[in-house]
Amino acid sequence: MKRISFLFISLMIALTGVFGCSSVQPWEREYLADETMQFDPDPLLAQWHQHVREIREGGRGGFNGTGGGCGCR
Amino acid sequence: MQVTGTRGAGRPADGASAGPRRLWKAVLFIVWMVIPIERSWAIEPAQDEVEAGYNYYHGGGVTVTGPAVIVQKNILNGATLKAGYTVDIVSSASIDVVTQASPFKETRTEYSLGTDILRGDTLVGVDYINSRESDYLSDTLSVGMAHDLFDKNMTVSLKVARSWDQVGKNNDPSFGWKNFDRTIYAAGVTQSVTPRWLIQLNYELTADEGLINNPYRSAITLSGALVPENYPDARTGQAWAIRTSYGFPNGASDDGNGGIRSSIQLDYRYYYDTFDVHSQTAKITFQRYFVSNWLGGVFYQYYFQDAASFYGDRVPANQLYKARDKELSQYHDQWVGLTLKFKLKQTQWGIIHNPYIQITNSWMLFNYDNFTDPRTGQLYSQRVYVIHTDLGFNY
Amino acid sequence: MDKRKAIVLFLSVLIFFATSMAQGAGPGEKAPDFTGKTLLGKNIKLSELRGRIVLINFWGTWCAPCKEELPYFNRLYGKFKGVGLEILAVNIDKVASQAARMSGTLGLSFPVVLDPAGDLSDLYRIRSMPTTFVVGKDGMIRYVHWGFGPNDPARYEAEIKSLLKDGS
Repeated sequence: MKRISFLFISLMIALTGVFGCSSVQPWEREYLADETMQFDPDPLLAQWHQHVREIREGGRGGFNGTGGGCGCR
Repeated sequence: MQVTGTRGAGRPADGASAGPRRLWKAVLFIVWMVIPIERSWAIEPAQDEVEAGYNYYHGGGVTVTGPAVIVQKNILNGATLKAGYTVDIVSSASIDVVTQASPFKETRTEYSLGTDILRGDTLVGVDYINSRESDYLSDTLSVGMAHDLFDKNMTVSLKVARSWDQVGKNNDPSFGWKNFDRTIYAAGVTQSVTPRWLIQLNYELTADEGLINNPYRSAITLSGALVPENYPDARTGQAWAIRTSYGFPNGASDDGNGGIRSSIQLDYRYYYDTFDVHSQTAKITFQRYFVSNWLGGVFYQYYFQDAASFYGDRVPANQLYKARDKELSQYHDQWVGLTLKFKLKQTQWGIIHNPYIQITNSWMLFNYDNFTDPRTGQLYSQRVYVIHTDLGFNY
Repeated sequence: MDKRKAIVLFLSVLIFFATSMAQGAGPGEKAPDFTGKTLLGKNIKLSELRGRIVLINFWGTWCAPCKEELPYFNRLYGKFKGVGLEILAVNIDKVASQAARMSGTLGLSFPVVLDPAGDLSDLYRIRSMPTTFVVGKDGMIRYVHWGFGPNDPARYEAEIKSLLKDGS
């Protein structure tokens, strides 16, 4: 388990380093604004499937996160 | 029967909650200190929206159906208010129920209220959820924040949630109400790698304390006698997940879909906890636009876990901790689904903008490796239908 | 416990580094000159609009706040056009016909400049969508609006009125 978490943390740091200078410009986010490019765009569907997972699976968590999208304000 | 996912009563362990509370405050403090206040606005505030849906679950002797609604509205200055209402109507003749009790009907009602506030480059969200059924009461408060970095190519999110639950037992007033508390810490990083490729890494820790087992279920000894289950007072689980999403463009054709023709999404999660449950989840989702306003999707998920250390289809009578919850056994399941969505973008009917309707049909197949059906003595398996449909619009 | 602390520290360090974000074009700078092609096929050169107040707005059909902002600009244009306001709506969609359709639906009365390759957005160092530059009669950027929110209409009115009073 320590190995898994160490790997993940290293992956996070590595990705940050590599992608910190990522070059997706604000005006290039057209594709990312599309719902097919987002994780869980439909909140009611995500809520129901999450509920089913909680009742029927022993594992918990991991599939909630914020990000992507067009970044408009 | 608890349908919200478990859990039961026990003695609250107050001393153990002080540490996490301090940690949470420290996190908030650090983040607030470092955030630059005047900058380009970042995370997109949600649009005013209404969504109403219907849920359906049927299989293994259990049927759960019910409506769900969410309403979202922008109020002054970058703050959004969200309200939700869900009802689960449960008819249960599940394997545990038919072999140890009698079939029952139950209704669970859930209300939620939340607000999202933009402050500089940060979105802060506070949510409250209240869930009620005749033998289970739950209050949950969660605080989350998301912060954009590197010109919005990276979003960092942190969330802390706390549930205070009360577990009761129908037809047994002497049982009273017992406490069950859950604390969740979640952290995630989402990175847009190219204009069509997104990666997300998530970590989530779930800490339970109190009565964790279901008070209605019994374990079975080697000699076949029913005995009460006994779980430890605490359970801590950790999940590490990676998700990635990639879009395929549609060339120069103009179909109003933002240039995406189809996309593929891959999810993987590794989970382990102090009950010695280890599980892996892998999911693939493919979506494609058809004829302008139609979006179709298909997904496949494979899940497997190995059993909790004190789980047993039959357990020695003198074993301290005993569990016969099939969700703590060794098993695997496959989940396949189809989605169809019809959406009218850039359409307005009076105050209604962009209406849509969608339906997701799915099938789950569970195969248990060390949980048997007491009526037959065979290893248990079940097939479940999960359907969700909803419609919504911006206003 | 240690794991949690590590994650928290890591994320805080991350956020700390994030303070070094690139800056977009800002107030006090000369608005970079450009020649843009409009939806109607005409060429517009920014420097030829010297002597008028110019709102340079960057928008996309996929950006929800942009779609709220444009009808407001339509009204603003109608109100101040006669006294020296010009609006250039720079569209960054990859497909021009999407911009044309939306422009028609919204009935935009000001020119829509096409920038599918992102050259203009790059020139003005756009950091967020939508972004609007308020350029004074002397060609200098006076105000920058990042995004569009409930406070912006009042701000735009005040800024335009103060620039109109400006002799320069």
